[in-house]
Amino acid sequence: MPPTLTFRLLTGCRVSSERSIGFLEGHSELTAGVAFDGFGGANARAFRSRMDQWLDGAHGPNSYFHNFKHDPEHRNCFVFKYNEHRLYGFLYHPRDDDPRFQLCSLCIYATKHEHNSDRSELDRVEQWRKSLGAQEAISKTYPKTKNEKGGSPWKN
Amino acid sequence: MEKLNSSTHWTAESTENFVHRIASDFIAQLEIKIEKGEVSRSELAHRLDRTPGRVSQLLNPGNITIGSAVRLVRAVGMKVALVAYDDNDPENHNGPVNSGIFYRCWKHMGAPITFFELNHSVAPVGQFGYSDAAANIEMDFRDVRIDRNAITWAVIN
Repeated sequence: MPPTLTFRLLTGCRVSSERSIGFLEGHSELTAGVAFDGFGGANARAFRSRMDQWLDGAHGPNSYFHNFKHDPEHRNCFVFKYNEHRLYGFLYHPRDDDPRFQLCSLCIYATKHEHNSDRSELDRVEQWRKSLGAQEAISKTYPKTKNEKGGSPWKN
Repeated sequence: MEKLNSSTHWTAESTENFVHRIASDFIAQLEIKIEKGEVSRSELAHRLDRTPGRVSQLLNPGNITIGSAVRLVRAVGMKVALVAYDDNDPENHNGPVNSGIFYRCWKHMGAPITFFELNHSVAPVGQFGYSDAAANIEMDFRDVRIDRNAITWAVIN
């Protein structure tokens, strides 16, 4: 039986109408939330600063966070970085009523010392992104608003 | 830190957090210049007469002072300002406004360097009732609110 995944939104950072960040949890591989909660002092401040920067709509710097849009296999993946710490996740547009709204769903924590990102982490993130369990978990926070025919349930 | 009241921003928890956020924000501006290739870390180290390792330490938000901030921006040919502002958020629910917002607004206004230039660079906008003469009248901008979701771009342009 597949694990029941859960999703929780990041609290205490910038509240934006354009972007949001959360953690996908409920499997031993989904370590980003636990790692983030365990950060203290400089690590916690550094990651929250980077998250605020992204939530503000800033483009970089890449040393803080970046996507992988030039990597066709991982174009939806995303990472927040501080020193050797990495929080990997994927970008997603969860709101039918606002297709531009962007969610960064963080999945995996890893430490890294090499220059290039660990593709195995990205492969795992990509698998979670495609999983039905992840979509269901996120849809509890961002319920689907379209009806079965794909149209908006709101009538003029 | 996760025990924060979700309605307050993490920088409301301590002055140290607030300092880190604005220092990180400041360093992000320099990191972007470095990443764009406008200045390399080695060139920055040379200009500061420091080792690259020491420059990396300077680019740590925990180590930033006003003095080191000035040295860093002067080394990349820029300047820095400390801006106090009232964003109508005394409880700090939203966190500090990104310095990049101030910078882009300033550039958008024609990068005035005196209040005279600012007064003359503000385009007359009928909707806001602005006039050159009115520029000399003290206004309480706390009463001026722009709906965050309003489209102001076309008006400003």
